[in-house]
Amino acid sequence: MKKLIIIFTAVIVLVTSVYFAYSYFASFSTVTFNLAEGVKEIKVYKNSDDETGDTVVATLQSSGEVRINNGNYYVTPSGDNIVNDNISIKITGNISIDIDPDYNSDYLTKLADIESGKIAEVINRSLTPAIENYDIEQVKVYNKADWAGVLLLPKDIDIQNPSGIHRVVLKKEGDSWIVVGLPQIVMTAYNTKNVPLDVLKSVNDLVF
Amino acid sequence: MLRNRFKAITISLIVAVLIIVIAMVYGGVKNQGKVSIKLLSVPEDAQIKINNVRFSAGDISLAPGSYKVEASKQGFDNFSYTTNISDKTGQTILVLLNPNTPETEKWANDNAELYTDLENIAGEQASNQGSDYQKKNPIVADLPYSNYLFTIGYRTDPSDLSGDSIIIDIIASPYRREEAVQQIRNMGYDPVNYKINFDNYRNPFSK
Repeated sequence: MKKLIIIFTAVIVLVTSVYFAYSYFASFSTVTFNLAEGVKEIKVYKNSDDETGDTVVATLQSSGEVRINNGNYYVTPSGDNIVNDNISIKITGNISIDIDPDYNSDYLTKLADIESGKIAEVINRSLTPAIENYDIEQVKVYNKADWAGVLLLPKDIDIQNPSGIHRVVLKKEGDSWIVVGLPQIVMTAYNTKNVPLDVLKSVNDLVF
Repeated sequence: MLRNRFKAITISLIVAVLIIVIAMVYGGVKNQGKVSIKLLSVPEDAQIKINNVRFSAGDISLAPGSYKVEASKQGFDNFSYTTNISDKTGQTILVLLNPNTPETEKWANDNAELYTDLENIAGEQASNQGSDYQKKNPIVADLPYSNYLFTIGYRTDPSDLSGDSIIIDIIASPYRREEAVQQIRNMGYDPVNYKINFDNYRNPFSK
């Protein structure tokens, strides 16, 4: 009888231990971070639910794997010419995450200056003959300098009482720019498809 | 003596069961307030973001509230909409990407039944939820808007068979169109999310 009790107790302890061991290991995932060119370092922070504050759980200087507990995290990238905005991630299982932040505004301004000639040429070629009645007022590039927004002002615009201002989006494919859709008074997800919403919003914010 | 042994066994059993129950309750507490949602996508490997957090198709847990669902995959149109998750069980978030290249169109034709299944689920959901303009298009609560310079109204979008989408109609002189768009922003809505039609406007760049 004593033997039976010992065996029974041992089984209970074993089952409990296996359950906890399984629960513990199942709560971890392997996360592969792929760092884009220009990203020198990332810090992975675990979101804190209490006053202890967010804690760094991993720091990577190149692409690699990290094994972390499932949950909510955010990544802060740093490097040359990139925005350092936090990137929220939710880990529920093994996953591969590309860290490819957009360029920062200073760098985008420089690139816009470099690209503006090419962009103007494409607009003039693609939107003929209507473009003859418009001036290209502003050229901005967005994200990874793979999107551009341009303000088109009617040549006969009355500055005191403006009308007829249009906006146009361009996409860079390889080394070439292409006009996406038609110029519009206001860009929407419906009249200019397959363009990131943040780009459309930025183009709508262009003012002269 | 025997009684003591039984006592010991009973206590150890109770302790073991208690530990497991506590662990399970802890696991439940972590997901407290969240409801289980089925996230369905065609194609299944689309990159899906819900409120900017990446998810894969399958079972997920979300707290009740409003969520922006975005999805993309090379060769398919981007997908974006806002959905409300209630505290009811059995809800589904659907992601359906339309092909935009010959290759992906072929894939879509070969997998037409996947699209049909998802469209059927969407149809069922629409009839279950009812056609609720106010919920899906909160801007209608602020429309029509009119002042002495312009009028902003809305109508049902005939191209959306669910009857839940709208077109914003702006009646304004060419000099006041931008102001009318700004008024939409002032109401707290982003015009980028709406189909907008300007009265008496023909795009000068259309051929």
